[in-house]
Amino acid sequence: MIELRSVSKSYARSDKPAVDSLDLEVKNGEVFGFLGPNGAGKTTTIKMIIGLLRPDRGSIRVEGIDVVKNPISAKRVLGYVPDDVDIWDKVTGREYIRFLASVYGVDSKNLERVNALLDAFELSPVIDDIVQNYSHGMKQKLAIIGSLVHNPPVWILDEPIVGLDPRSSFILKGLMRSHASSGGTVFFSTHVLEIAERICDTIGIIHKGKLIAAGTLEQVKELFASKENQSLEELFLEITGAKLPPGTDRIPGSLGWCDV
Amino acid sequence: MTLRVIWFLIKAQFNLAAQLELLGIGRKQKYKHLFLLLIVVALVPFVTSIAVSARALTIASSMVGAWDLPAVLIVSLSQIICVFFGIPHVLSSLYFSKDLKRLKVLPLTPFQIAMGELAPLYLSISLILAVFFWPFAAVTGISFHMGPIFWLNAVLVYLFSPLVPLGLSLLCLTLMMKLTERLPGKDFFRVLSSLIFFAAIVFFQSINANIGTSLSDPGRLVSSLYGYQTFSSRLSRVFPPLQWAARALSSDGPYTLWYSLGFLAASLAFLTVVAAAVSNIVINLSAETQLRRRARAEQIVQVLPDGVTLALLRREHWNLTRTPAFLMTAIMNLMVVPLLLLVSRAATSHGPASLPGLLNQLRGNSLLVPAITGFSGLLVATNQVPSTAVSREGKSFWISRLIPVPPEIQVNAKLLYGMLYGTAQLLVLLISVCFFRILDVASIARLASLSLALTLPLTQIGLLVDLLHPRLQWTHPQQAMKGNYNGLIAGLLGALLVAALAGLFWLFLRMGLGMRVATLAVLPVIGVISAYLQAAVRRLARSQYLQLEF
Repeated sequence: MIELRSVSKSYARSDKPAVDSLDLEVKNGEVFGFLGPNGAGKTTTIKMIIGLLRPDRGSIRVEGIDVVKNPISAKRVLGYVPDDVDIWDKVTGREYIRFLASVYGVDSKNLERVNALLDAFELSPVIDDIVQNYSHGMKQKLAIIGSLVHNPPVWILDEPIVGLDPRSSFILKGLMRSHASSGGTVFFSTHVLEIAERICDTIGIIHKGKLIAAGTLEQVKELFASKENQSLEELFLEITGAKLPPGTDRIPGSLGWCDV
Repeated sequence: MTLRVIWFLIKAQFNLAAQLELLGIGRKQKYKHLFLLLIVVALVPFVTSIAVSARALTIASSMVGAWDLPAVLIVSLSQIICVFFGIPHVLSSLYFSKDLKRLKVLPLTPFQIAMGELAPLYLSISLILAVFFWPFAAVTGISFHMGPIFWLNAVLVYLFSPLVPLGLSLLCLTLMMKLTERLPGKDFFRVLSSLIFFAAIVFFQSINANIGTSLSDPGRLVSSLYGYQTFSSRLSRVFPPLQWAARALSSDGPYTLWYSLGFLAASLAFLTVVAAAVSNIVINLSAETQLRRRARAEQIVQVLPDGVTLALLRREHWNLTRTPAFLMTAIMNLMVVPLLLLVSRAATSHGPASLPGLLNQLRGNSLLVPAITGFSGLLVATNQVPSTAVSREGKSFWISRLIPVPPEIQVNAKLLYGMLYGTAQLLVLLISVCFFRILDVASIARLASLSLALTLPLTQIGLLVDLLHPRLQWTHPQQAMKGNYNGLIAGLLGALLVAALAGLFWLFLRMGLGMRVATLAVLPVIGVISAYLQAAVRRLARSQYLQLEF
């Protein structure tokens, strides 16, 4: 479970807050999709939840643990996949997993699942190669597996789909769903609205640091009195006030542009 | 087309602002000028000493009637200098260069890429060579009252001197690449080449110093010079154009222009032929390392998790020893003492003039142990391992922030690793001291215990400095270690501590305490300082690991 209460964060060189009085609750067993345009405050929010940034105001709790007051306990229940995968370049995949298993105190018996994941993501043949030689997608997959080594109740992913091949993307979506089904919490940010629409139980839309909508897709649609059969993409564009530049063709098809 | 590629790469690689950024100096114009001024000021004593040596050599050569000896020395030493700097430069540009990846996708032939990469190297080696060549050539020309042809020849010989060494370096690189083709990584290769580079410097230093130290003794000077001339003549027998270059500089008759033109043509032809012959091999072998896929094992990750501290120590070790830029600095720090003693011994053969000989003479002196302890302390203070321990993590620091390990435990692992590295430095020092029989067993034991005790506060100082202001946003590892001012600040603070302890030691001696009692009295002081520093490290670790936003 994740709870954010009146969380705000400003950066030194900006007069506007990156995140402004954010209230949010994600329950156990939920897959929560965090949506917003670039620079809306998604990554800042995620970094505050995992403890990489300190909120200026407000409180953040994961599984009931305050991440500012009790960071070490909070980190034990968190798994995190960053958007920019800066894993140590000079270690092998095996060494990276071994390091995480050691610091999270995971014993060999509980690593069966990791073996299955390495197999599923097709990383087992290159597990003894140094990370420097991995492609972006492979690093992403290693980061995903690394975040699950200690089987965390709360799994946070920042733009996890970017750079993954369709097969891995499919596996990841399945993992996210099964993590929630087994009682865990999944909190992920994405730009791919179709995926959010398909696998999320609840969504939140953040714009210019403020949470402007949260709830199930139906609740969000109701909140904005959207048209019938309006897609999430249309709703998102409407809420965030996105405009196409003059002379740009709207893409016809399933996303609802054809009626314009 | 080739010329356009060459010109583009020259412009890209001589972007001074970018170089300053890499050193962490920034892009401001005033810093650029200050940086250039500092380089010029730093070169003044070096250039002056070369000019003074060259003057002495020309006088000595006149005395023994070897008029052409300065010319031979200019040419052969120029070649050696270019080879020394050529090998690592060629290695960086044609093996580790990130440019290659970009250039290989362009419609360029391997020859064009190789020449494009060699051109900026030619310019940088020429700049390095100028510092040696021009004081030497100018003094020779003025001393022997040479005419304009000599100066024209000097310009031609200077301009074309780096070509043959660049070709040789390219050949050397090809050979080393073929030999290490199947080795697991580039890092080993780079370290291997750096060791060869150091060995070459030792060799060069021994020749140089042998000639330099014999200036006061005409008999020895003549034998040194002839010995050197024999070496040079062997060199020129392998490659006659070197002889032509020397002849071009030994007289100012118009016919000597033919010698320099011959040298020019032969050098250009040599480099072109070598580049054409091996560029294909070099460029293809420089490809990114392929993933070594293995057959699926039954159990893929048979992880035997370590304890937390051991895991953190391993991570420190991987980071330091698998990043070539870090490893080079670490190895250099370890090699500095034996290198210093070996060079000094090789340069002056045996006798009191060498550093080991001098230290042997001081063997009975009771202050020798504290003096070497102070030196050992300075080595630890300036080793840059603890003082860049946090910075070296760079953008991956988020992992340290994320793992559920208290900051003080993480920092203690860094401290322990720094101590282990400092102890390794001390071990190398002790082995060198034993090898050159500088101290007796009891003194070695005293030196070891004092130095080991001193390693702790010095490592703590380094860590404190880096914790206070770690440099995490770097794009090249060089910026995290060698180009990190934390190393310099920690070195200065460490030197201050060593000086303060030396002052205290001297005070104890003045108070009438014996050498052993004074040594024993200093140890608890070091202990108290370490305890205070440890408390500071713990406090700073807790606050910084929370405050460092990422």
